[in-house]
Amino acid sequence: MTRHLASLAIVLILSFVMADPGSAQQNTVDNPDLVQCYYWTNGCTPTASAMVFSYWDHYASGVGKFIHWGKLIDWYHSHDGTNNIPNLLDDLTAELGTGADGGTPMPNIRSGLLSTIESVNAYEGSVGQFHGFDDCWDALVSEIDASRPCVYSLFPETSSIGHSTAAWGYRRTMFAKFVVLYDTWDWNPVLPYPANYREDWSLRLYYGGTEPVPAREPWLHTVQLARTDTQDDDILLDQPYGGEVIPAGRPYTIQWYQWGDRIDNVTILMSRNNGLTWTQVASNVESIGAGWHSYDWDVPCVDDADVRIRVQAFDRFFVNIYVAGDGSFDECRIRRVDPVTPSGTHVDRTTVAPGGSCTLSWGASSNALSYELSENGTWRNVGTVREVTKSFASEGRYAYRVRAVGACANSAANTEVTVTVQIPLTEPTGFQASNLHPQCGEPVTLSWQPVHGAVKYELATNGEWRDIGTANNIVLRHDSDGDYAYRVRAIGRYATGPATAPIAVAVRTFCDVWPGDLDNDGAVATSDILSLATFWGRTGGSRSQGGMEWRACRTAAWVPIPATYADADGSGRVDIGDFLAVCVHWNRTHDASGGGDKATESDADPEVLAALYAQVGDAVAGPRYEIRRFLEKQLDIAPPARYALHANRPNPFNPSTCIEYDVPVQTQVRVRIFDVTGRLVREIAGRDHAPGTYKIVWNGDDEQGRSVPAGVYFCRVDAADFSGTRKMTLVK
Amino acid sequence: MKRLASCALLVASTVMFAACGKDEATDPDVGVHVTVDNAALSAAPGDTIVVVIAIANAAGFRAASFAVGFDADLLAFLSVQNDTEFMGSDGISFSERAPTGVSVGVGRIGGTAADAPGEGTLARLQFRCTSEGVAEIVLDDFRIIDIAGALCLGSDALTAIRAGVVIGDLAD
Repeated sequence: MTRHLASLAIVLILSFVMADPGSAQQNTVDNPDLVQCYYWTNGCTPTASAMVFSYWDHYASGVGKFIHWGKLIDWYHSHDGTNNIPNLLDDLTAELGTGADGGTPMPNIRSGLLSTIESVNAYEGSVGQFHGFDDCWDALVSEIDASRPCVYSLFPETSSIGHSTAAWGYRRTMFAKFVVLYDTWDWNPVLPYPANYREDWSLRLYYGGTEPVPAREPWLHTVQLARTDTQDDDILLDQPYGGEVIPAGRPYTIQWYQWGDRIDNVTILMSRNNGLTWTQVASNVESIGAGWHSYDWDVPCVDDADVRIRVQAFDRFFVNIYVAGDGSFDECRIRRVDPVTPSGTHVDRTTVAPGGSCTLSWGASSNALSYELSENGTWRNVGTVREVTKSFASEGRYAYRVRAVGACANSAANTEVTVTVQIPLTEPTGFQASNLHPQCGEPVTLSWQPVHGAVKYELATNGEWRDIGTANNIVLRHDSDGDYAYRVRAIGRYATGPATAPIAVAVRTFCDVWPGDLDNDGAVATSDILSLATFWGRTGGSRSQGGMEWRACRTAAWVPIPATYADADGSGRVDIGDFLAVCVHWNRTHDASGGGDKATESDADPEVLAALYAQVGDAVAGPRYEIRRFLEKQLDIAPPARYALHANRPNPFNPSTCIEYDVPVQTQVRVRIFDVTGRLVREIAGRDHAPGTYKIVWNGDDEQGRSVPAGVYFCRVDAADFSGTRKMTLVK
Repeated sequence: MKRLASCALLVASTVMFAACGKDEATDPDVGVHVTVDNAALSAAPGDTIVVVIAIANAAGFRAASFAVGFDADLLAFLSVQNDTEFMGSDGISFSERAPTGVSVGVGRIGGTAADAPGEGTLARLQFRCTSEGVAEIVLDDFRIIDIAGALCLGSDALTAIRAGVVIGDLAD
């Protein structure tokens, strides 16, 4: 039976080897980079045999995958039993040849296998023959470094649970070592193996280097090697597992699981060149007892890099003795992600009074761990908030910028905002000039009330600002005629206050007066009456030239200057003669585009206006009517509400009497005088009337202009549907 | 026995100016004439009298101002009125009390030279007689302005015209 099974095994082996006739020799590897080697020791020799076959299987298949390894294992298990092993080994050694290919001499292998089988229980191992982990590993590595594939079979001493591990490896490049470990027994179900893990055996692959991994199982990060003289002590690197992205500059937890109780501490290594060299991340990291352990690694601030992490375990009884393998069999990537600059800082107010506050805020920055706020160049961390309220006790100017704090670097600072803390400055009050109409060289004192918080003042002359110092007044002198608009404002330590309204100072020696244009607006019109009424009775210098010809008459300036123009006739007094100038040049215009002094005072004397109105109150058309309407507006005279004919005055009369009547709407009005016989004596009005109150004087004459005799007469007013009559008595 | 006084005391009732808009030097005989039509008046206390001021040879007339002096113990100034025939509907008159009497202005607002007749009633001055006596009314300081605004005669060449008023029965 045994022989039969062995033959079957050979048949199977040959069958898959021969399945690819173009592949390597059965006992050699034709790949020049792969030099086989076999290293045997005590252990599960069937496993080692399977290793060899799987190795061949792999490279014989030529597809880079362990296509048939499972078959081998299964085949092995199907022949489970001590009695079958020697036959198997015999078959294997027969197939492996004599070592002429440069690998481990087959006789040695064979003898070793046979001696093992013959002398010890293959499942229990032998302390005396066991080389221990270090030897195993060293032997394995040495074989690999010698460019020889190898098989390593390890079986822990006196293990009652039965465990065997085998390995083979090869070296392809200078730094790439591939080691495949076969764990034929599941001896610790605690491990977080995937669901498809077969409990009765496992295959674990340890690989390194940049070569493509032919077959990778998710649990292959485990290195399980055991000391020769102890219980199993294994260590599993669980995190990083490989493929992770680890943020640079931030803490990262390296986590491993360990079995047994002899591991005391670990050393964590990192390689940035794919395992060629290793640098120490941490050493003497306490790792006592079975279970999960971790180390919080402050990931360095390196640029993006592919790294590998290795955890090496050390026995507490053999300090610095390498007792366990390393993990992290796939690269993980340290990625440095710096924060972006926060969006511009916003401040809810840029000017604050002492004792006040403002709120600064800014936009979120991705990858920011916190934020730093700079106040006038001094940075301080404000945590993760993005809004800060600042209070200010005293005046000052504060510049703020914000930057994001990253794991490795801070972002650039954002745009600066400035907050000015300033005592609120008010517009200077009481701003006045001692003389608004100075002659050339005559001093003008501008003064104002001091402004709280001001450190100095500025004066604007026709819009041009200049520093005038700390005094709240200034004396000005003007060298030539001109119009000067002055404004003043307070200057604080950090801000400028609002300006006053302008004060106009007109420096004049002469004015060009157009007779009749009393307000010097360029036209003789109703508005000139206001100027007349405003300056009525004012006196000033007269001009020598007489007349009111329509031309510019140079006149010595009055105070105030607008009054100069009101003296149209140059008499030296604003009076009736000036009104005549209005009459003379009514509606005339001149070019006033050059500016000049417009009448600015409108404090028209209502008595003067009323006196003028008395002269035009009966006007129904023409310029007089224009003046009448203008004066009615000025005097706030509303049109009458209804028709009326008032009693004439005087009555009795001689030689004339005034007839007054009201017209509420625009209409045709007839005013006629009749004698006691009903005969029409005279029609004194008979045309269209605008709304208003009218006064007409009847001089006691008839249509021919002849004086009528004394007696009783009747005044009759007819307008629309109104008719009124008044009795009048002419006495002589 | 009372005796009503007749018109009396006309000292000078006519003054001649250079014609408005004309050259006095080249045309000395043509000038504006201003007269008082009723330079001698009589009235009783309480009566209203009207002094009529006429103007002639004043083509192109536009405005005039003059001072009115009178004995305030005997007369009270009431008003000045322009004449619609001479001024048209655009005429305007104005008076202002002055320390020694009244300042008077009359004129036409706007219009053209063609609108202005050269002769007519310039103004009517209305007084109330307040006490018995012989009152003199002096018209002085004339300024006659033509449509161009020219002064028809310089103010330094004025000649006063006067009117007299006998108020009450002065027979005694």
